[in-house]
Amino acid sequence: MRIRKMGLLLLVQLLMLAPLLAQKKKADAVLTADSLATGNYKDVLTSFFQLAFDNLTGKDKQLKFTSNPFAIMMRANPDLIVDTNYQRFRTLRNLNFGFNVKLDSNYKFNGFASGVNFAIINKRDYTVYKEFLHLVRANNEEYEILNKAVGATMSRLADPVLMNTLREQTSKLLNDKNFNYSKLDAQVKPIIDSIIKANNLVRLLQMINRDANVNIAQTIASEYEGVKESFKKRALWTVGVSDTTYADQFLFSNVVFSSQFLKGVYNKSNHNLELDLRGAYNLINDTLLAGRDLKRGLLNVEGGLNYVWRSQKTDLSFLEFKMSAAYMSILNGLYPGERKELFTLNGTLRIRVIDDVWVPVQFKYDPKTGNVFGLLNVKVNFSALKKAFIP
Amino acid sequence: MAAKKKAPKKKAAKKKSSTKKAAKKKTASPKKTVKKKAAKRAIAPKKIAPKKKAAPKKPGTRSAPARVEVATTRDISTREPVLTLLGISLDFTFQRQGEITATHFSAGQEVDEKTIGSTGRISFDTAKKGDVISINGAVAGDATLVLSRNTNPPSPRQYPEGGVFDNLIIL
Repeated sequence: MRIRKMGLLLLVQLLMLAPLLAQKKKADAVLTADSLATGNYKDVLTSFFQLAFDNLTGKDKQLKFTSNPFAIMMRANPDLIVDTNYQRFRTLRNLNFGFNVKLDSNYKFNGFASGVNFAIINKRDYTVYKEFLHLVRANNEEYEILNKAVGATMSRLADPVLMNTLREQTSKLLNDKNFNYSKLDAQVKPIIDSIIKANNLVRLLQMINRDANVNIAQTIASEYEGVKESFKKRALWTVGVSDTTYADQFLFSNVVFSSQFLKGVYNKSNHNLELDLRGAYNLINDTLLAGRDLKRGLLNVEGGLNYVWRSQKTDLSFLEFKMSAAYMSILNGLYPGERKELFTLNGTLRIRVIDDVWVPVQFKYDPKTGNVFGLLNVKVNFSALKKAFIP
Repeated sequence: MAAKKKAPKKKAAKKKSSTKKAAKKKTASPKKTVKKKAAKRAIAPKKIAPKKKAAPKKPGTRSAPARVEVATTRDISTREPVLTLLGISLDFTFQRQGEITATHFSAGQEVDEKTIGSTGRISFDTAKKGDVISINGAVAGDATLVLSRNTNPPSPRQYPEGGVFDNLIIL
């Protein structure tokens, strides 16, 4: 019986994955920026589909589906992947919605949950800020001058062979990460050198003088990543509402109004420190009253710092550690003998196992009682599953 | 040879409208530069002043299809016109935001420069065979460039996320 349920679950998972496998390759571009986001950021604002099995070790299992309207629209019409539409539907891209099917330990339906999350401020999205392009171009100023001067020189060359060689070599020098300055042809090198000197390209000249094997394309790529990095610590503020139904009745058992603010406070090479503030107001059933209602109100406030360690090669974060302090207050419907206020110190360690698979280990410490709680979650994104299925 | 070319020019000029006369002036300049080219085989780099800030220009309006100029280099012995295709359009498609500056060079001289900040078209009406279009800029996602004429390297051109540096020779 249990095997049948597991099989059914796997089938549902594959059915959800199938359209993704069929979609055009260019739609993958959506994942590019997203896959660079930290796991914490991804939890707050998902830009593509996310499937998560929460509380794998607990009694209450959840099958979660999160997306945004733009991702759905794009699946229906891949032609939407143009900058004009990308900008036009910016609001839709900042809106996430999710459905969550709860299962009990026997994988039986145990309730339904849904939620909407909207980014009021999303300054991390470098794909929409013109400032980002201006910063990149300011960094690339000397390379652009070099390339333009090569274009001018090419246009007055009588020898078509030399003209083409100059074009190819310059393109490799500026775009090919496996090509370095010392590999330039003997007839092209003097042209490049004279252009650098004539235009007084000081940075380039210094780079070449320092190391003849300098990889200029790699330097350009690193500088680009540096600008992107500076955007990753910018502010992100989201607000959302979510609800949960009863297992036996489509009636809200829980409604949560929440808000979260993230901002990088320290950023040095591959180490980042991020401020994470979140608050929630939870409305749940007051079991002391007859019938089902939402009269019990709980306020949760949490503030902490999230440390992110990124790989220097891929720029993907592979370890995150979050320390936070949480305060909970029961504003309505306090039960007899229950503490009205609760203060805990929390720690969450998240390790990226493979590309999009995170293993978070969470600890909670209550200073008043001395209790320590632990919980294990595994989050899997669709892209990881997709990669696993496509050779 | 020069005398041969000059004689038919006058005949052709009589038949031409005023607009074609203007075009003739434009196309006559490369002939002069041919001599200069021969003289300047030894390459002397041209100094390009660094720009303080790339002033964003509005995308060029959609231009007419490439013009064909006849009779500017007509051979009197055969009376077969030598066709000179003029103009090129560059269609950029950005998946995310991007900013590209395209510069048209002819015989070592900068003829025109245009900047585009979103998916659209840039046109250079006087571009001809042997001229160079220099592409510089940055894109936050993949970008594609489709040209209206044959170039080396051939169209379409794909630019991945990052800085964009390319030079295209018009064939």
